[in-house]
Amino acid sequence: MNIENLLEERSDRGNVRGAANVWFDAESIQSKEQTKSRKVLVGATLAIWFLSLTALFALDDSQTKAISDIEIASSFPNEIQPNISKKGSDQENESESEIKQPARIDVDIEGIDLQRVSEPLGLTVEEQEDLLQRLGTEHPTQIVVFGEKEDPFVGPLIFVEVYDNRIKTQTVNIDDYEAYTDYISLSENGDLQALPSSGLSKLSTLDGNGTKFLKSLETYQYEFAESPNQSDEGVWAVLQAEALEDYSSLEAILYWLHGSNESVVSKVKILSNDGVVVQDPDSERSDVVIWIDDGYMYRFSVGEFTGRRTLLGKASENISALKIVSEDDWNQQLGSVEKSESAWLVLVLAAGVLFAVSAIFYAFKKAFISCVISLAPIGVSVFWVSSDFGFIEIGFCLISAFTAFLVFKYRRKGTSLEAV
Amino acid sequence: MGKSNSNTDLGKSDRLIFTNLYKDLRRFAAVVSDVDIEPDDLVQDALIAVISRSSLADLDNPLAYMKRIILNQSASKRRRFGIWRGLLPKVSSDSSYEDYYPSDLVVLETLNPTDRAVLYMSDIEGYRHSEIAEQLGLSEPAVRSVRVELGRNCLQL
Repeated sequence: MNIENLLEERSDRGNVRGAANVWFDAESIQSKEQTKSRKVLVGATLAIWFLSLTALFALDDSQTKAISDIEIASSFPNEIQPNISKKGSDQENESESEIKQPARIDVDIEGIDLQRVSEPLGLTVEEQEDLLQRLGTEHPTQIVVFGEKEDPFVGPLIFVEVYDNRIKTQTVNIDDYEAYTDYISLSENGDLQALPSSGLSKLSTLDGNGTKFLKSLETYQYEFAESPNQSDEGVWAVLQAEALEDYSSLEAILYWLHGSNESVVSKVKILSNDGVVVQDPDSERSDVVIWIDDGYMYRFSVGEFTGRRTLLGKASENISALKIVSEDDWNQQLGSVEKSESAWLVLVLAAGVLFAVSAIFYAFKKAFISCVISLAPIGVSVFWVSSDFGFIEIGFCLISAFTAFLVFKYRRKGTSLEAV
Repeated sequence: MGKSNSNTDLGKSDRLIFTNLYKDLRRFAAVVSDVDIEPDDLVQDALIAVISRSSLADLDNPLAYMKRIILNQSASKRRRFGIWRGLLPKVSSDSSYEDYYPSDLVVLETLNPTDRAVLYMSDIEGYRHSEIAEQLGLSEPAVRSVRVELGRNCLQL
């Protein structure tokens, strides 16, 4: 038997079902598989999109929000005639009044813009005390303040923190903080008093935890920087606006100053308000500016991040950069902040969805290349969070989508040999 | 409506193409596959692989494409079941092992699917080496070499 006969014999083996039967069976099986894979594909894709959108909205809610109107009760204490006057009003108001939002203050320093707005924690005073108690932070029962009655921020200021079984002293505008004994002493009946030769007077007795002044923890913080990435080098500025419960500009600043031991304080004018400059005791190259305006205590600081560490700067030299802007300009800035903060998340989610869809596409269509390429956006997303190369992220997403499209189209022509 | 009509027309077109190719594909599948595989099953699997991704009408050379798929599937099955096939005579409890096919045809069993395909397309279907190489995705020198070697071995039958 020659080879041709062998091959002919071989080619006729088996049970012949016929073209119609083979076609019918193939079509039935293929139809069932298609329906099944389509359901899984659509279901998985919808689930991924749903999870992505849910995560996107959840993050958006927890991040920046437009500042909303707040109402706090306020009264003006008349214990001390404040040297620092409230802007626009010298009247005392003991009834509840509506306090507006913090002033729309922009920091007009070249190269930096509003990048982040933090929302107040909204803890009540009781919750704040409970939190501090759990943290183990000890408050003095009271803080007795001594200073020059006529102009408190020009001369020495001495803060005596009274605890249950001890006292602790903080000083401002005094070269040698231990020299506080030159200014105050204990009287015969155990009361703290200023020495007559000191020229100081007892200015006030403050609550140890500042509850008299602070409206819970309603502090808005505006961060100005060159980019939204906190790890980027460059100049930054921070403006904090702390809502005051009991409106007393002098006492509020005094309470804040009691924690600035050994600082040097001087007076300054800021946006038509009287303010103080508090120089960092550890560095002559940095200071913070504080002022009170319309129910809020503002604190302004500047610095520079060098990539390795943060250098604090002199806020007093940037006072002229503080400007009141219109409501429209402020809302426009807020809108830009919200867009930039959620933009990176949308990009990461888009990359994640793209990868997931490509993985599903691969599982059912075996487009391996599209799956592999789609891994790139995920890796780049992590990199983009800490850098400013967002265009790479977008580029990889586009390359991935384009490659997946090419592979799918290429295979449809049937010109590639695939293991099946 | 247009789309469903298009799909229906596509199905009819594909069915027509397949019906015309069936006989050649079945004979090819019978040759390249091992004796324990039904040729129609192989053809059916190849057909499912094609129509699940595209259409026969879209292919430039559906016969060549289907043959290549059949060849790949045959080789894949051979690799997968190679171990078991080798064990079959050894696990048989019957001391007399009766050959199902004439002994001459067993010679073809010793060839791998690609060699059988080259032999069949060359000697039975009458394709030139270049055409065989193009259809099976091999190089022409490789086809020529296989054909020469096979021709030499088969002369010894």
